[in-house]
Amino acid sequence: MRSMFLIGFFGGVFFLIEIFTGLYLFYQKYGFSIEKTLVYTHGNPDEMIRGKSFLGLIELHFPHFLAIFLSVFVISHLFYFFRIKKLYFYLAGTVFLSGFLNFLSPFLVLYNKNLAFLKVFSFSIFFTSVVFMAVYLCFLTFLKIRQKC
Amino acid sequence: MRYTVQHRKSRYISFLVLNLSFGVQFFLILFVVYKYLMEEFFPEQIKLSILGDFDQFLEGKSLLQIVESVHIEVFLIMLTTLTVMSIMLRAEITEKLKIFFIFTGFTSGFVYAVSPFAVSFLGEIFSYVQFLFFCLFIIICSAVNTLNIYCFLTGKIK
Repeated sequence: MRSMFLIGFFGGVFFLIEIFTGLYLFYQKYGFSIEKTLVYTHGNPDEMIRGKSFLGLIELHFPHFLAIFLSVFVISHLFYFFRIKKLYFYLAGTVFLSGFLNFLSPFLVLYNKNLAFLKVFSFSIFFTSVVFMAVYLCFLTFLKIRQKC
Repeated sequence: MRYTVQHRKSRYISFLVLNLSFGVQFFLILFVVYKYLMEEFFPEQIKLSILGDFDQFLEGKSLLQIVESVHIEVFLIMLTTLTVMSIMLRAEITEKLKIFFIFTGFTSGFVYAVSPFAVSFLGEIFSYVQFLFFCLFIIICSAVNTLNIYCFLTGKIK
C-alpha cells in the first residue's frame, strides 16, 4: 500500500513542475494581459510580429488537448484511493471545464477580439484549481505515507 | 461459468498490459536514440547544446527554450514512470523492492528533467549529472518494464 501512495506523491510533484513550466510559457506568450493576448494571436505590424493562423493554433493546441486531459485524469483519479468527498467532484469539474476553455479560447479570439479576456480568465482558474489539486494530493499522500510508517 | 469468465477477463487484461509494456520498451529505446541523434546525450553534447560555443558559432539555449523542452520532457517522464510503476504494483515482488524502484525511478527522472536549469545557471559540471541521471532513469524504467513483462507472462501477479 505504501508504494501506491509513493506513486501518488511523486505524480503530484511531477504534475506541479509541468504546471509551473506551463505558467512561465503562458506568461511569456500571453503575459496575463488582454493586449498581449491580442498581439500574440493577431500579431502587430508595427513591431513586425506575425499573427497566428488557424493552422498554427491547431499545431500548438491539439497535442495539449490530449496531454492536459490525460494528465488531469491520471492525477484526479488518484483521489479515488482516499475517502471520496464532494470537493473532488467540484475540483475535477472546474479543472476540466477551465482547461477546455483555456485551449478553446485562442480559436475564439482569432475570430472575435472581444473574447481575449476569456484566455486570461480561463487560464487563471485552470492554474489555481490544478495547483490546488496537485498540492492537496501531495498532502493527502504524505499523510498516508506517514501513517503507514 | 463464473470462473471461466473471470479467468478470460484476467487473461485479456494481461494481454493488454503486455502490449502496452512492449510499446513502452520501444519508447524507452527510441528516447535514447532520439537524444543521441539530437546530440544531447553525452555530457559534452549537453554542454554545447545548452551553453553554446562562441568559437564554433553555436548559439546556446535561452531560458524560454529550456523551459519549453523541460515542459515536454516532464510530461513524457511523468506518464512513462506513472504507467510503468503502476503496472509494477501488481507484480509479485517484495514491498521494499517496489519502494526502491518507485523512489529511484521518479527521483532520477526528476533530477534529469530539471538539470538543464542547473547546467545553464550553476555550471557545466551539471551536464554530467544530467547524463548520469538520464541513464539511471532509462535503466530503472527498462528494468521495471522487463520485470512487468516477465511477471505478466509467467502469471506471477497479484
